[in-house]
Amino acid sequence: MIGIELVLGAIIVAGFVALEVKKLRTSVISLAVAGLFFVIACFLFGSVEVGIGGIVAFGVLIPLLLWALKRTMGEDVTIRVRPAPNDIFVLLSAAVFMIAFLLVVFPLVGELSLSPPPPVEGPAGLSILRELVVLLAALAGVWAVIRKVGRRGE
Amino acid sequence: MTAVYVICAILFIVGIYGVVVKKNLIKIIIGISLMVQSVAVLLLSLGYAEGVGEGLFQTIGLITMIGGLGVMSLMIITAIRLYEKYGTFDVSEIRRLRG
Repeated sequence: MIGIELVLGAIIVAGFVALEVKKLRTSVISLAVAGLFFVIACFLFGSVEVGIGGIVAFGVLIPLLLWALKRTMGEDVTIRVRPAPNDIFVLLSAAVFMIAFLLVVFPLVGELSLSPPPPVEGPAGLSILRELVVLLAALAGVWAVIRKVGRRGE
Repeated sequence: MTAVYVICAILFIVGIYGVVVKKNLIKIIIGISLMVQSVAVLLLSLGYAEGVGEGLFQTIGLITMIGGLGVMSLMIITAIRLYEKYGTFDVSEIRRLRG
């Protein structure tokens, strides 16, 4: 399992680079690299369906982000802004919470009696319906936000 | 598998760092994306470690990914609309200019 840990470490590095670089296009490319490592991690875990879902998700998300940058600005002008003390406090609180979560909740997970769900009856192909509904709802929401007709003048 | 759990927690904290500290809307969206990835990897690793109910964890991980995609696409479009209205991605500037 050393390989999976290296891949997950690469996700962290790519994500941190995505957050720290000044050029937003480089940030999006770093996020794409993180997504690539995420998909590799899914395949290493033996979860082919989630890996394919990740390919679809990042295949939609990355072009959408690049399109958004094309319509707006390419640089992060706030990169030099120093974090406020309350931001650091929130970050430290989140870190403490995560450590407490790992120490307290995770030992209890093994004691849960988890049983696999029953197999889905019916014709094959219907199992992707829920993902399709979510994607169509997201597309409808995107269309509703960017449409010009019917919106009040600003 | 404990190391994988710790790495997932670190990835989640990196995502929180992006959401809390960064002022750029695109960076905030990237931070949320990292958090979604960490939760999905955590679910997959739980299923891998437990063995029992692996399909259940994979299903929840898949739903997490697809739901996260829907939320992030809406956030990107909202960021574009905010940029068209305020001319900036800086959340503190947007907060100052509201109303």
